[in-house]
Amino acid sequence: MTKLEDKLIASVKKSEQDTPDTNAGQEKTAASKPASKKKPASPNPKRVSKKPGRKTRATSKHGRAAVKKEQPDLHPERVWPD
Amino acid sequence: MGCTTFSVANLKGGCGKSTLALNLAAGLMVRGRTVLLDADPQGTLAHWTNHEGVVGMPHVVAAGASLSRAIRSASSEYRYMVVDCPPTLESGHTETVLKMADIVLIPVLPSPPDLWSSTHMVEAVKGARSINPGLRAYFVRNQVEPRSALSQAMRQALRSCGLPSLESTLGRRAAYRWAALEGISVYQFGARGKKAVSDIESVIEEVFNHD
Repeated sequence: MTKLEDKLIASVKKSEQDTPDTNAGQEKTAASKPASKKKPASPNPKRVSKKPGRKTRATSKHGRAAVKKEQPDLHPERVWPD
Repeated sequence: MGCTTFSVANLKGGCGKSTLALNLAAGLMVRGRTVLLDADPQGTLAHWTNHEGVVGMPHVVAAGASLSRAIRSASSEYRYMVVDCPPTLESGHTETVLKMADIVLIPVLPSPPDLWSSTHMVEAVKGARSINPGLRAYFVRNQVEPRSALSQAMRQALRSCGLPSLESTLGRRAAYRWAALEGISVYQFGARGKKAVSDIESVIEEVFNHD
C-alpha cells in the first residue's frame, strides 16, 4: 500500500470519527436545548434603569469619563432661532 | 423476466450522478426497454434530455409526487429502470429508492471530500438493507485520470469504506460534457463518444457479472 493510500484511508477513519450520528445529534440537540430565557419586557423601555439621583460617570466630578471638553458644533451652518 | 432497477445515488452533489444515470440508461437500452426515472424534485434530467429525432435514448420520466408509485408503475412496463437520486437524504427520495432498487451505483470523484462523504452512503445502504436485504451496492470511480496518483489511490481507499468498488471506472472525458450539452448520451455521440461508451459498457458488464 502506498503512503497516499494510507493517508486517504486514515482520513476516512478520522472523518467517520468526527462526523456525529445525524439522528442522535438532532435528538440530543432537541433534548438539551435550554428553554429560551426571554428577558421580561421593561415597563418603560425608553427609561434608563438607574436609581434616581445616582451619579453617572458623565455627571460625577471625579469620574474619569466626565465630559469636560466642549462639544463641537456639528452644524455650523444652521441658523438658530432667537 | 422482471424489471431490474438500478439507482444512482450519492449525498455529494456534483459527483456525476445524472451523467452516469443517463449514460447507464442509454447502455441498458441496447439490452432491453429502459426508463430513466428522475427522482430529483427539480426534475433536471427530464428537462435536460433531448429526444427530438434521437434514436436509442431511454424514456426519461420525472418521478413526480409519488416516487414509490412511479417506480412500481415503471417496473411493470420496462426491462430496466435507472433512478437518478437527489444529493440528499432529507427529502426521503433517496431512502425510498434504496429500499426498492436492486442495485445502487455510487459515483465517487477522486477527491478526499468525496471519499469522506461516501461513508454517509454506506450508512444509508446499511439502513436500506434492513428493508431490502437484496440491495447490491457498488462504488464507481468517476472522472478518473489514469496518471493521477490520487485517482489510483482512491481504489484502495474506497475498499476501507465498507462497500465494494467496481474495477471499471469512468474516465475524465470531454465526451460526457459535450454530450450533456446536446442533451444526449455518449451512445449517440458517434466516434467522439467511443471511449466513454467503452467505460459505460465495462460498468454494465461488471455489474451483471457480479450476479
